[in-house]
Amino acid sequence: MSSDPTLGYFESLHVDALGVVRLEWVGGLRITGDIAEQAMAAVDELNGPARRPMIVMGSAPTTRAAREVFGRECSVTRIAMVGRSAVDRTIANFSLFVDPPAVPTRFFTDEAAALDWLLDDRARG
Amino acid sequence: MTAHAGEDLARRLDELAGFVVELAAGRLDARLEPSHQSDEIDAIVVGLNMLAEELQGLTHDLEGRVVERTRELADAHAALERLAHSDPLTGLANRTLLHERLREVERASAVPAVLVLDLDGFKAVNDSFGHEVGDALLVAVAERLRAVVRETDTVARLGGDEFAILVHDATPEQALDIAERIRTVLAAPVVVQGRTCWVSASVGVRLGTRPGGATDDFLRDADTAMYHAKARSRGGVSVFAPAMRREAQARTRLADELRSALFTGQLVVLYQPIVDLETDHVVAVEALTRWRHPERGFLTPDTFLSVAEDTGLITALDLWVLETAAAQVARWRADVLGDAPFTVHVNVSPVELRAPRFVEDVVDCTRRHGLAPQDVTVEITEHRLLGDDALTREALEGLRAAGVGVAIDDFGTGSSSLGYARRAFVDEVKIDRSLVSDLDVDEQQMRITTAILVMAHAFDLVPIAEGVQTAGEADALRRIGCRFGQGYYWSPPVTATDLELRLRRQRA
Repeated sequence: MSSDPTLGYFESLHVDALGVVRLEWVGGLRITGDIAEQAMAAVDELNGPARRPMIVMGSAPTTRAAREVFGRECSVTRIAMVGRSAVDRTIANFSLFVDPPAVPTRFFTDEAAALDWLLDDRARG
Repeated sequence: MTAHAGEDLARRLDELAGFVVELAAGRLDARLEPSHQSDEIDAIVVGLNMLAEELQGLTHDLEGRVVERTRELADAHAALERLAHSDPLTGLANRTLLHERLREVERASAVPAVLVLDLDGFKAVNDSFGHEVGDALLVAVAERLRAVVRETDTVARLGGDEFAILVHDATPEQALDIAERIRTVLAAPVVVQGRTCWVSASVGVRLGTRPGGATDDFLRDADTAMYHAKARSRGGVSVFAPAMRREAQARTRLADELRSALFTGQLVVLYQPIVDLETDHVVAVEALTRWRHPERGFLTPDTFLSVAEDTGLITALDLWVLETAAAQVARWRADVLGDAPFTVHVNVSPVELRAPRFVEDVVDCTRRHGLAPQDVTVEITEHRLLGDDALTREALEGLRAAGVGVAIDDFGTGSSSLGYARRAFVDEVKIDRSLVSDLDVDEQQMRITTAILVMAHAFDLVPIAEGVQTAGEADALRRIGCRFGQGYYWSPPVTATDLELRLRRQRA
């Protein structure tokens, strides 16, 4: 997994200069339970012993099994989902309200606002 | 909006409407591919796709739960069925299932046989080692019984230590072969929880006579035959014959009559003197029950004792004799005997020895009548002692510790009591009449009885010769050092009034 951290599911997965995990799904992906497991493991591996906030760029429809996986605790402290289209909002709403994640999660249309919310949380510890 | 864009929008909305109808019709696996425009229509499409999947998942979960609940219900139903038809301890069929199987046999026009068996010696195991060992023994017996029958036959536990086997279709030879195999498999001891238990079974067999015949009475008949087997000898087999039913009915009637006899003064106690051979004085009496039956006349215990034991009336009977005899001795002490050594012997069923309050009952009785414990000796018949078990030993020890005498009756005819005698659980032995008869003219008899007397003395036991009928026998007993005797030579069992006259004469 460490040889290909994107697993073919991510446009990118890395920790940015602000200490935020940045994840961008590839276009046209449908996230199954299996993909969700691998993604969560990749994020945990990236974080190592650290716990960080995460920003998710773009959206992909999730299956029930995937939302169950995202409902478990992992190495991220907060999740900001950033999208601009109506489709992004619909997917985010499903994630937020049908199977809420284990950590505070919000949907943003503006990346800067998303980072503010993530870092503000970190500043508060 | 261009005409083309308008047509495209209309097409997408048509597709969306069709998708909604499909979902509404219950086709939750239907999906609609969104366009690449990520506009509001796509948002609805994606939302509906996810909603459909969610509903599909919920439906699947619900169906799974319904399947699970249905299975649980079926399991519970099966468990209830098993419970209603099986014996929870051994897992064998119960009486209800046995009756159902008998009905099935009737319908199948088979010729069945029913075997009922009752374990001999089970009570002793239960009393000595506890119910846990008793239960484990029943389970082990159940397994052995299962092993002797065919798949089509039914082994049932009727309750307690009573089992039944329904042989589905059998010739008399096959049924008797199973009875024999039961005896064989039970002949080997059963080791449960480190205890070695010896049991045997008395088996009653009811053979079918014709295909499809009524089986209503099979179980009762096999039961009757089983009691017949048990009465003859332990571990025997009896095949039912109609005469047994009449016998059983007669026993039931006798039991009813005995029950009322106990409370209507039909029972009396007679006293047979026990004589000191040196002085010819009466030093003790044996209390003997007789039944003045209104129709059948004067009955001796051999006609009603086994019925009393089978029905549990023996407890009341033994206590009644003890009470009556103790009250009588108390009167004699007051009127005739004073402090002279005198003992009344009462016969007690070995079954009673295991009763929890037996020793207390005996001691209470002597105290209530103002007697010393030494005034009473409990007699137990040798061949009816049921084996060397803890409760019997405790009772014998308890009696002796309280000062009540213990005598073994019919000594020399059995073997089980030798252990009790050797280990000083008894005070006296009553030498059986068969060893006393013709003692003065039969040298072989003389040698045997002498040997028994030597043994009794070696164990520090007081021997009393029973059934002495002639002066010659009495003299012979004196010669070989037997101090006490009882028998018609001195007196038959007599009423309390007659015995009192004798005691008065003796005192004078």
